[in-house]
Amino acid sequence: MNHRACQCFLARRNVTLQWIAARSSSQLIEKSEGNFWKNAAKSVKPRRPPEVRRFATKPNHDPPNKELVSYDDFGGIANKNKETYLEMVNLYKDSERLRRGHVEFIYSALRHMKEFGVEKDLQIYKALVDVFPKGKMIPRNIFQVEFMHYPKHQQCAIDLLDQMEQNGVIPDWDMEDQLVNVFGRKGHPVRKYARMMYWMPKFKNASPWCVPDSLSSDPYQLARYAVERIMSVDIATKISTFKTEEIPDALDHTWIVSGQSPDQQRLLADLPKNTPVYVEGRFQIRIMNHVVTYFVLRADIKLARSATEENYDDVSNMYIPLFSKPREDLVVKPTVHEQEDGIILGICCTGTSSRDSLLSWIRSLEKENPRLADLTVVFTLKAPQDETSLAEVETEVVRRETDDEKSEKTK
Amino acid sequence: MLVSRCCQLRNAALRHLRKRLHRRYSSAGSEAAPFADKQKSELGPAVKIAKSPFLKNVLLGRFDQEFLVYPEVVDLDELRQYAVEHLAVKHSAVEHPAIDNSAVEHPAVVPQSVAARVESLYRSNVPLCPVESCNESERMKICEMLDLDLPTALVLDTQSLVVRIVSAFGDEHLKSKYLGKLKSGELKAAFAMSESATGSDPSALETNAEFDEAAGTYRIDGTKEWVTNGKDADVFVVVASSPASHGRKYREVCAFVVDRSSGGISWAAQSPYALGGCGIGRVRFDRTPVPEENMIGKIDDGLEVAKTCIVHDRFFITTALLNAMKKSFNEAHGVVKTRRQAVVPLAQTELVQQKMAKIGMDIYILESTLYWYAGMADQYDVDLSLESAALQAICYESAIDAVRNCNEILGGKSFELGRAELLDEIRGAVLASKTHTLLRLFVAMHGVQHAAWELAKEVKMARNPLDFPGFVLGRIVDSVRQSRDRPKLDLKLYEELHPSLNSSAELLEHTVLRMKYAVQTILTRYGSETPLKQVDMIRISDLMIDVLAMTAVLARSSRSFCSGIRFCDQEVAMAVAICNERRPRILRTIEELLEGGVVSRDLPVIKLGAEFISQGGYFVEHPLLRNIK
Repeated sequence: MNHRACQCFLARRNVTLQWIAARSSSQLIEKSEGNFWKNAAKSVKPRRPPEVRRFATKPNHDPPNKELVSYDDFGGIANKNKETYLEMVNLYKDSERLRRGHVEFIYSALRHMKEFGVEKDLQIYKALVDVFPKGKMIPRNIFQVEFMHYPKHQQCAIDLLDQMEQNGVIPDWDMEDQLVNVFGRKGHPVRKYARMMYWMPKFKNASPWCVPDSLSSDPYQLARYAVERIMSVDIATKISTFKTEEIPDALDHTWIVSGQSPDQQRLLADLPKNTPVYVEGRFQIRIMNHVVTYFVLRADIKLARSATEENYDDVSNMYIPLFSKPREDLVVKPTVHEQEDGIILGICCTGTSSRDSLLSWIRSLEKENPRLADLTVVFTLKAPQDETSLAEVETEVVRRETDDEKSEKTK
Repeated sequence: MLVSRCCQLRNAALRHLRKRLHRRYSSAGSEAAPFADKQKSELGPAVKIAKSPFLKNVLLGRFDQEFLVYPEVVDLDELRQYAVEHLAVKHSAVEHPAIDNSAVEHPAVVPQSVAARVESLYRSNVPLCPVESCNESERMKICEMLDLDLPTALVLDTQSLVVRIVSAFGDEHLKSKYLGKLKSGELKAAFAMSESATGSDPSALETNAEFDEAAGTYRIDGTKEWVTNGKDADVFVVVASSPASHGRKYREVCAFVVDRSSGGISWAAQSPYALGGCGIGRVRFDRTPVPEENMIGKIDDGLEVAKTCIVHDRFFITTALLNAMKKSFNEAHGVVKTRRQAVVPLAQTELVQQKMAKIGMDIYILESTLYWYAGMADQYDVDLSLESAALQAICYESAIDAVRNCNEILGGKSFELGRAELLDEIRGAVLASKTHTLLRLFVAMHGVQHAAWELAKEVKMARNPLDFPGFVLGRIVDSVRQSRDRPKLDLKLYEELHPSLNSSAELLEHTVLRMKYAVQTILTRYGSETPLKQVDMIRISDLMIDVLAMTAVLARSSRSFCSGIRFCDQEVAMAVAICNERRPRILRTIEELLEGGVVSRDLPVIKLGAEFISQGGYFVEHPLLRNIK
């Protein structure tokens, strides 16, 4: 439904609810909750007679359930997922019809979101906004508007929205209606909502490398994303997957995602014989909040030819790049792979990030890069020997194995 | 008033006629242009007058009025006599009725193999290249009379290209070994240049020609694509790059004549649907040995050889396309004649009339330009390489346009008649020759290079206004009229044309003068990078091609009108219509060239293009996608 129409509908419904409340249940409220209102009257004096109060739409036949959800009950749940979280919220809503302590409840719920893995779920946030009592906290005049009517509650809602923002959850149009019904059109949470709705969709697609909203945590998939992202500097890149099972002598049985562009293959083929090329790593790249490890095949910097700048003003002998001799005085612009610190010849992610898998990578590359057989491959790695020593990564020092080197050099 | 106007017109016409007659019967009437002073020393009727190139000079605002005189070099009666005496075409046509009859009824259906038809044409002594006994115009007319289908024409053109290459660049050994047999069709030839990775750019070929010191031969290794006649050819002209050898530091592009019998040559079909008969395909050379003396010209002549395939006048294919257009047009007329749309006969609907006019005008332009070109080659000693390329561009584009328009008129019938396949054939033939973009770039780049050579001093000063303030101020004053789009029309082109073509002559003159200003402007703007600004280069070539077409059309219609040939009124009307149709396009193109630079409308488009390339195709999100749920 169009959200404007929805608002109209809700506004009309509010009026109806007011009317119903005034007609049917004011007496009941008066009778059963006299105690509550007496207490409330001590702190905040009701400004209107009770018949215009807008919330209690449910007859209060049953005796109020005294078993409240305690604020830390979230922590005590064994099976933490979206269903149980929502169950908790609904439990509170059903049992606490009067919404006593809802601010504390919401804060507690917000705190426990990560544990349940629901911090990126819009539905959950909407369920929490639904906990706020409707109508009661709508300011009635400009002073209330400007002086933070119900400050604790408004601050709570703002914090809720803030948490959404931190987690990159964009509200939807229904949420506006929810917030308006609670805090009125001029309420501070609604204003924050409006700002969020202006900026967040704009920033949502700011990254040129988009990954799906529901990013899987499958390491292979993440590795593909990572290699695609790194190699997006060259549109001709070919990304291939190798299985180490197919390589003889491979100890590690895993996958390798390798990215190499035709330009890189050409650069590799042009390297002089016995040039050392280095397998370097481990480097890390973040895909959303996952860390992916990758390795680089690098050669040392090649000598750049010095260029003399052309005199663009002299048109007496213009060069035509069509059916004419290639110019000898032209220096070809270096490719994106020729960086200041060396030539990047390829990158890869492997399933285990182990040395053996990297050796398998080099062996797989040799199929398309026969030149690699004539080069000296040096492994200068901070990577662990095998996946079992992953924990030692942090403490391991950069070192070059002198004895291992012989075995790991391919020719 | 009316009477006096009529008298004026008559006087102008008479003056013009007198001038033409004078020019025709006295060779002293025209003097050589100062640019290319290479008049031949021997005297006699065969001496051609040296001229500086036409289109190249147009870019400098110079227009040689002689080129507005439509050439009259062919006596059709003599030509018929020649054909009877020298050619066995009639004979072969009877012997192989497929040549003529099939072309009329089912031109796309090939009852007889292309090879057989080509064979019979070789036997009938068709001139493949300029020969002593007949001049260029006559050769073109003969090609037209042969009424070839496209595959045959393509094969013959390839043969003639190879003949031209060998006779232009080959040394005595090559000529004696191959030329005679190539001319007579005893050896069938193919031209192998394009590759999958580099397209038609010969400067970065991957095919390698390595010199084998021990054997004293070159070894050619690589795969060539789109080789016409690759299936049956006995001889290939291969363009390859030789690595740095013989003490050379850099790779050189060189060309070879390779015998099929040398070994290591394999062929695979490409383009199975259209032009199946002419053996277009991939040719793989697997370390094919080629003796050193089979190199065409010197070691670095390869690029010149490659260039020949652009500037070569493809008489067979152009005339074949002209004939195809005419035939399609007549078929379309057949439909228009009988069919009715609702109540109104199709012939009376404006849209159909407009379409028919457009097709007719396309044919008229092509025909005029073809014979204008051949006539100029006969009359003058002039470099016509740009004109040849521009002519091919006109030919390919107008053929595709005309046949498509005809097919639209034919509707479903175009499929029954196989006309849809004809369009495919034309496209294939264009690909197998050269694409129009390449031709256009070639025309514009060489034209601008020539202009820049002459304007170099001015451009240098204009690009450094602080060093030459006087020059720049003077230029501003000089170009006041140009900046208001009102150049002074002082070329007097109308003098050469019938007065009823005055307005068109004015447009032609205006275009030429504005082109000079536009070329000056872009040279000043881009300096020596000008040839790399391809969008503007295409614009320049558009203008050059329009100038060429208008020149030929105006010259022809004026000649027809002055000599009172049949339908000359319609010809004049057609010429005026053709020029008027081009007018807005020309003016807009010049305006776009002049505004250029940062303010041009190209920039955002080019940027978007780069974006599409880097994003990997069409990247825009679907219109139904929502960013806010």
